Amino acid sequence: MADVLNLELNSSEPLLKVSGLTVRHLGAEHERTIFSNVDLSVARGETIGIVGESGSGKSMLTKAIMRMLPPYMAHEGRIELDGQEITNLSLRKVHQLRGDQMTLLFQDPFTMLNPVLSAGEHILEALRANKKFRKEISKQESKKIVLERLSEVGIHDAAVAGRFPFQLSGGMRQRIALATALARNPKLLIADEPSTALDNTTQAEILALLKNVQQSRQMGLILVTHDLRVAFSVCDRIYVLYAGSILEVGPSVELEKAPLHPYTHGLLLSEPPIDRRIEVLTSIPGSVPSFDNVLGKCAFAPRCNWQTQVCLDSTPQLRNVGERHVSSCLRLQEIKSELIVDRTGRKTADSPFVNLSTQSALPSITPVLRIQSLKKTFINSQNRKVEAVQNVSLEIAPGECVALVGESGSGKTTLGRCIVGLEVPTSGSIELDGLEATNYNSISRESRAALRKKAQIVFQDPYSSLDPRQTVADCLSEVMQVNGEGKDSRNSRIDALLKHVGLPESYRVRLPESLSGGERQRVAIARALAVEPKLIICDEAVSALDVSVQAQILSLLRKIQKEMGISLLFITHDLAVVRQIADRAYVMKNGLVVESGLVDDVLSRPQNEFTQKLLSSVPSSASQLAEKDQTLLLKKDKDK
Amino acid sequence: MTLTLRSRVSKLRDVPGSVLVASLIIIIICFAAVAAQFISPFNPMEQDLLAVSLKPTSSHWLGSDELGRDVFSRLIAGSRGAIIGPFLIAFSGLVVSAILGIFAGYRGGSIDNLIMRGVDFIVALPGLLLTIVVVSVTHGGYWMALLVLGVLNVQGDIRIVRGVSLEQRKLPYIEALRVVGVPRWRIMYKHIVPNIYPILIANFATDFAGALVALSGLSFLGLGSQPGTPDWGRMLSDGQPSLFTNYWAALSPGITIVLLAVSVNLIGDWVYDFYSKKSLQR
Ligand SMILES: Nc1ncnc2c1ncn2[C@@H]1O[C@H](COP(=O)(O)OP(=O)(O)OP(=O)(O)O)[C@@H](O)[C@H]1O
Ligand code: SF4
Ligand SMILES: [Mg+2]
Repeated sequence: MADVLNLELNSSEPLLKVSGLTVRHLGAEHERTIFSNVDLSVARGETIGIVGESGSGKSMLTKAIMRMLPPYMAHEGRIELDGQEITNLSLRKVHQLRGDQMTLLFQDPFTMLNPVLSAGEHILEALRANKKFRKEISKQESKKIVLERLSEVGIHDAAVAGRFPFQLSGGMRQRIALATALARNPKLLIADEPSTALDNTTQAEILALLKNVQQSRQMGLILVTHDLRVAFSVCDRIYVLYAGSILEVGPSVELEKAPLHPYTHGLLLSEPPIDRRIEVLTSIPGSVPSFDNVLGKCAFAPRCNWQTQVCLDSTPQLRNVGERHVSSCLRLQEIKSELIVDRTGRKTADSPFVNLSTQSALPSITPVLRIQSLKKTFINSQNRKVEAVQNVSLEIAPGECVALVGESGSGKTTLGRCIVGLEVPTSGSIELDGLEATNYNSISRESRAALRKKAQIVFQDPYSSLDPRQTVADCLSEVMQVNGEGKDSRNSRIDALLKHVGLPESYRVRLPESLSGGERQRVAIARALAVEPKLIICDEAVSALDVSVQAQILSLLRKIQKEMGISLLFITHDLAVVRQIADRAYVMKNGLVVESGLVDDVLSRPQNEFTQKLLSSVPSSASQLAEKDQTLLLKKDKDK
Repeated sequence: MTLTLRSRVSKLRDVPGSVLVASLIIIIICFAAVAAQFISPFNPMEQDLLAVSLKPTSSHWLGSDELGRDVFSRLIAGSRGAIIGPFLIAFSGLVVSAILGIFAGYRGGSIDNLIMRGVDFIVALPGLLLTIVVVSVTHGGYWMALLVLGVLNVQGDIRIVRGVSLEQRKLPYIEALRVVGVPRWRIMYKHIVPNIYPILIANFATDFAGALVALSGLSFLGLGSQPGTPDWGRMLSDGQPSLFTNYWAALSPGITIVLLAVSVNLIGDWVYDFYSKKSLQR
């Protein structure tokens, strides 16, 4: 099949060629297909991206290529690296190949680094794995090579070589991991979500670095990511993987401008733009199925707006739809024009509808939240004081959505936790809807109960926000019960709440383990709504979700704000999300608010240098990135 | 979909063989404890001076001891005491640690400090020595031994339960419950207990096995149970002088103690693994 598709660069032999690769999980009871019949190629000096939502099989695909599958997974198909077939090469030989020819970079640099080895030792260790190197290179020379590798990844301070992983920041660790991976000059680098665990600015630096190294070495690079923006900014071509099948492959530029598969199209639309607010956020309903559940039909059919009977009758094959561009959508020709209309016809929403600056002029309106000179100091394990929140004042009007943005560690979460009484502020004051809420411990039980009805919180991690042993209905019912509701009204309100957050009634009896991340987050929102609060604090509530699901949850929150008049405090690091949902924004850095104002002003005309930096680290198109990369590297050098 | 043991272990073949054997052993010993009077071939106290130190025969399955008492019948008669003592110790450990451990871990602060100082105090005591002294000085016998061992045993449980409760406390779902206004006690017993009970079960098993061995050891030293009562530890020490001539009398209680202790531990481990794996599978 591969020769029908003209994916490869002209005549030259690709660096990596994968054809018909299938991986199955050999379970005790039944076999499960993880992905099937994947064709993929990487030319020398080319960067490809593999994108797809969580569970689509991206990581397994890279593991299969590296021949690193766990023993209970079986693969078939053909993998050729640099002209050599490695599909069934003995593990000993594969081991030599890894590092010499191809190498892998993981999401979490911590798991890749050995805590007892210093940065320099990691690189040396990788070098020594090669026999030739062990024999021929002297100690002096190897030291020089280590420093060379370090400077290649932007570390010019020789002292770093002697530091241990725990003494380095996440970004630094990822640099060391990269230097280690590059030690033996591999021809192919596979990076699985290399920047996902890092905060925005560091993420941008690491991506720029990867691209830079890839270009100067003319190395093949496979970047695995769930984030389309990241893929567009770094990759030449992109493979879209969904439920274990490749749905579309094409050059980044084309995919970004005109995707030719409804799934890619949906993903792209779900990605909120940072420069304007979209009136109706597009999302893809539902979540990713498993390969076996969509066998024999278009994998995307259950979630596709354009699905008809043809789509269910057979498994679609990839077909050429442009130069080096393939798509598996059967109905592409019929729906192409609709896709374009969909993309271009999105309405930009009006500016925010509440404006506190005019409102606070009216003394009659009590703000839902008023924070004055709040300060919170922690004592850390070394008995040092950490000023998480230094001096923050903030107000939220009824029905308003306010965003609190900043990098990790800037004190956003601490502030949110103070508001709901999970932390007690060191000084300053908090008022919720006119009620004193500074210290939940020092007030009567009745006042505390009253405060619970004012502010609620939704956390980031959907997997640990629900009691794993409680059904959805029990969870909601308990909240109402402790707030004094009778059994009958509880029962009918559970249905109403589920409806509000877009879950069917049948979900009452479900346990969290049988819910997807997005569904769990809906339940968490329903739980917050159950007490009928005036304000909901969303602490990175959509950050752990896939884009398509993120858009669903954002729309839900917008709806709640509009229809129920509930105020939102949206804590996030994602500026595009801020643009979509918030009326006003506060930017925090090191426990201080450095800038605040209407979202439009803050994001379009940032005054503060830090806000500008945050904005500039949002991944954008490739050319912009290259520019940024240069300035970042220059700046790094200057800092030293 | 629910997490009950019954629905998860739908097929017996999912259970490892060692666990099946261990369960069988425990079931047999429990049955013996309940039905002792009916299944025991001889009166365990009856001395038959015409049949002393017998090797196993068709009527005396495990032979007889110095005084001509049937070893098998005495083993059966001793099973009740062998189970009840360790059970009481393990059970009280479970209840006390579930209350104090969770309270300490969840509340933190001065209550936690107070409880943990108490625990530290018990840890500092020389356990076995203290038991021997207290039991022999007070002539308290079996019940005193249970009491002292029970108090000594509980500290380990409290520490473990406190640790896991502390972890639970930091989880978003617990914090969300606090924010929503669920009272403390309810969070502790309705949310934390169900989520940490594999640990409680594992503790119970280790406690049981440990108490069985400790109680047998005390009886062996002549403390705890009254002389003459059919107690496994005492049978062990009674049989010891003639270990090389009449080894059946000494070895059978010894082997039974080991079998029971190992079986309980095996099952405890398995139940713990089973649930932990379940929660890791996310
Ligand atoms: N060790 C494993 N054993 C069994 N199944 C696994 C294992 N690891 C992954 N899977 C399954 O393989 C499928 C693909 O998983 P994979 O980790 O490749 O997804 P992914 O696209 O990398 O997702 P993410 O974006 O969350 O990293 C999923 O259904 C997953 O449950
Ligand atoms: S084949 Fe059908 S279901 Fe699949 S993407 Fe195309 S239109 Fe949608
Ligand atoms: Mg992955």
